[in-house]
Amino acid sequence: MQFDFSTFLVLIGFGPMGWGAQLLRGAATTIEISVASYVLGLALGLVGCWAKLSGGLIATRVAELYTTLVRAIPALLLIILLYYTGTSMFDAAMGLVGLKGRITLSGFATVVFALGFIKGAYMTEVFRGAMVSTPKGIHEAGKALALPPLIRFRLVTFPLMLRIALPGLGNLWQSALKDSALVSVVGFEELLNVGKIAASQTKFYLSFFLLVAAMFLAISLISNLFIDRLERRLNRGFV
Amino acid sequence: MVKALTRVLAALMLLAAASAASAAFAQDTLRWGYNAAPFPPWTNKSPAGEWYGFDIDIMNALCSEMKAKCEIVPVAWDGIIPALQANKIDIIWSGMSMTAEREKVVDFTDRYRRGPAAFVAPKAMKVEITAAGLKDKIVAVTKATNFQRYLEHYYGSAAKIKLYDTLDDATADLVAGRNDVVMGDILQLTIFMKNAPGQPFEIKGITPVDPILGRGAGAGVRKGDTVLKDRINAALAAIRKSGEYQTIAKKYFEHDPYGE
Amino acid sequence: MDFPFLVEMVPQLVDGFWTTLSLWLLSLSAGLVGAIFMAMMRMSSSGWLREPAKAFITVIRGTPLLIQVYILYYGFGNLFAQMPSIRYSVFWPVLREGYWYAWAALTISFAAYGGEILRGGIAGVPKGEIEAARSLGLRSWMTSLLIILPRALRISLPALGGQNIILLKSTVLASTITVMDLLGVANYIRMQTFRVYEPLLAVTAVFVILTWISAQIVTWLERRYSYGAR
Repeated sequence: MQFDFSTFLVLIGFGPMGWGAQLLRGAATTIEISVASYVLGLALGLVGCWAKLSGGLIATRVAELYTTLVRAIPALLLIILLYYTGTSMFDAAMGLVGLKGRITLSGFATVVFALGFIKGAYMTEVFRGAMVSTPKGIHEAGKALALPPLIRFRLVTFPLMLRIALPGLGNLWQSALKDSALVSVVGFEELLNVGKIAASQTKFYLSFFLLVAAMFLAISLISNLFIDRLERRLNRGFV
Repeated sequence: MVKALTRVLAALMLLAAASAASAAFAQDTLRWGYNAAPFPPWTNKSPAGEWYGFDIDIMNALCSEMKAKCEIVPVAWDGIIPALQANKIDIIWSGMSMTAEREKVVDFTDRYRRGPAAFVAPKAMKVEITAAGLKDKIVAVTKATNFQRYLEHYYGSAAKIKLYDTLDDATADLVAGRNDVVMGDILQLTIFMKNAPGQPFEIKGITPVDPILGRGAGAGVRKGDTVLKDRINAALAAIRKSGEYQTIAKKYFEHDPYGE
Repeated sequence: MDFPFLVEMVPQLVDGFWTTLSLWLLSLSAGLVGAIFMAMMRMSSSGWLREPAKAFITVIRGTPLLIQVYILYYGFGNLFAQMPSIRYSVFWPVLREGYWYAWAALTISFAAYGGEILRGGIAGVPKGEIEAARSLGLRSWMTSLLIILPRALRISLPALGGQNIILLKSTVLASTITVMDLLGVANYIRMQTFRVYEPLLAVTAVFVILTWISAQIVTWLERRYSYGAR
């Protein structure tokens, strides 16, 4: 089979034979699940960081188990596991508050939960590392001003920590984006899955996978620009 | 700047929580679980992202018969039974064969189609579909199917069995010479051989009636969900009787896919 | 948890374990060699070597490994099949196996990430050591091989160890292209028995143990080759 470029252009276009619109929709879904799981990971990371640094003994142990295990298990394996157990866990939780069967997790929410749960472990480590390297005196100054703990965290610790954590957080965004492709394996329709279906229907395997890779690369490079700018702004005034 | 950033982050977290909450919806529609990978002519996906095919048409006929609101949920085939059990879907559709093994974990409706499996290999290759004939041949089959079980039971010790996600992947590898024989649904393989890449291949054998292959394909529902099962059975009988089933079948096939 | 069932799975899992282990070690050794070449290209004084290496690393790091696996297996694999010179050559038995495509993808990935790590390591080799070697009359390539490389490897060891664990975890992607590695076997058992948790949890346990062991080996290596106080 000779590669026919004009046919391929039709196939990735927006006409009735073209997969262009589908691919763009897939890219949008990919960005959605990446952002949502990243944000969930941020929240879990903050909780995990708190548990590791100032929680009680049990909280510390749980957080340690969480980060050690998640970072030792292949993401694809965890995604398959969480995709099927996530719903059961959610249903059990709903049962506890008396809402069993009334609310169900959608596929989107399950996927976001699985990806976010994984990212949370890495976030915990990034935040913990950043927290440890914030100067001690500043926390004490906050205490001396008698600021309540939450306010102290919001006004003093968090802004300082964020600057140190930013490179790590940037890397985690890149990996959140790339990990999102793994959910195509459980049948979730994101960019790679659309590309896979298009490739197998049109038999243009190489071209469609290269195109999907290029789309991922574009999203990654564009977000890199934003992260760099953010980093520069946050570092203003620091040497 | 930092303050603005914390605010943005806080807002994002709220947004994520809200979207998770809205994504969790109260259930009032029937969720039909489909193999996420298209299996034409049973299920297929258009470039516009719409599902179509024989199974989709039958589902739509059943839904209008039941006056139910229906939704298509694509699921990876190897996880479709856990997805049913985990309440991600209400019905397993897309042609699950009703076998004794599966009946232990899923309740089935009446049959809605049945067809044998075929073995396809290059015309130039001499191969008999026997344990001796398939010795050391790489035989491709889609995973988590009763075809796989059949192959393993009868030819497992002789042939090298290779498992694929979809029949499309298996035939692509057949064309690419990465396997020798493909076993799969006869109607699907017939369509494959009609197209250009499938020209050099032919059917070498057809499976006989066998308990491993089950009693045809039906809709799978959760164990004990007799209400839904009876609803689907009644609707199935109705569209068979009204001739709607036969009208749909004529769109796709020369023979009746319902089977004898 | 059903323990008799777990015991029943063991022989199948052992097969998958060897596949995973060999895939990991083979791609690690090839990937390390690749990483050294990538680092050398990235630091070369010639733009003709530097720029392609830079672009290559950007592409590999900016795209999901799963797509790279698909590009190799479905993309190039199908292309090879259409070339009679390859299809009927002695290499075809290798080129038709998903295993070697997974190996290639993992090797390339490790070379790209590891190359960047090594580049940092090379930059961290004290200038004095290089000058000392040169003043002893060592030729430039000998300095690179005998002085800079061992020292850079030592400096990069912790980061390379981390990358090695990522590599180990990435081997499961092979299961998506018909390879029966640990996850492939677990998926197979899962489909045969309709049990989700037992096979996946068994494989999870194997990975936790493998990760722990390789972390221990890196720690041992770090201590064994530590400079100075001992």
